[in-house]
Amino acid sequence: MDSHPDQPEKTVIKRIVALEGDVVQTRSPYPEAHVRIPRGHCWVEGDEMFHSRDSNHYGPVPLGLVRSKVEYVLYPFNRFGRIPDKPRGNRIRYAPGHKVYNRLDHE
Amino acid sequence: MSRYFKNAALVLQVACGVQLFNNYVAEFTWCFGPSMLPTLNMTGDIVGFEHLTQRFSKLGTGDLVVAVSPTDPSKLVCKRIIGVPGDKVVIDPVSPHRQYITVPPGHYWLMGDNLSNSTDSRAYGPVSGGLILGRVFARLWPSPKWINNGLEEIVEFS
Repeated sequence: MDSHPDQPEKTVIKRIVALEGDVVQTRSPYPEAHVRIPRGHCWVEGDEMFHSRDSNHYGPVPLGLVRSKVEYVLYPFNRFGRIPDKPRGNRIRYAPGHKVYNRLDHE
Repeated sequence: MSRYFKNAALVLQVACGVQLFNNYVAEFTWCFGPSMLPTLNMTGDIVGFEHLTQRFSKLGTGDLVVAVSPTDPSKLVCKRIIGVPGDKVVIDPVSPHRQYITVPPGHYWLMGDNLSNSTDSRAYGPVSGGLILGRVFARLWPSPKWINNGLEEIVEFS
């Protein structure tokens, strides 16, 4: 959950998919096909890939804008519970030393 | 026993009040480094910065601000705003090839006063407004003084 980079009054909820040093294969409308995340930044994407204004629109997000981590859904009650992990795709080449723990890999 | 509870409750209330004040009104921080000479010391100053200007009115050119560093979110930087959204600024006034950039909406262009020794927007680009914590209004120690907006009116020589 972070402040919108272009409009600091707004809050944005997205998923962090890559941290500094990782190389991400971007989607349109990002101008470059591959981008290496600079130091102190992260790459956020919405789960709904083609209907989301995320880092593919505004680029890497400085980690100082990230305010908090979303852990649980409280309402509506039929979706109550922990936020599920997304299956790891193959669009990210992780930098050596980055430990990626995905609950889906361990089930 | 009730005396201890009363004291503990008072301490808790004061701590909450101080925390709210720090988050929403003003706070103090230690600021050191050569990038803001001669305005601020190299060996360290205690500066006070306030959160009200960003919330109720706009930050303007010439304001000294404290921001989270875009390259290292655990560090704070203290720089001056040179460009507000929409301004066209020179990227590096010292380099032989003059390049301009338009500051994107919601971002600010920060530069230290000591251009020769300052890592600022010339290195990491425009800084998002959400990273800016507040505007510096005073230096409390070693020599207390109000810190103003650095701009002066240009006097036309006829």
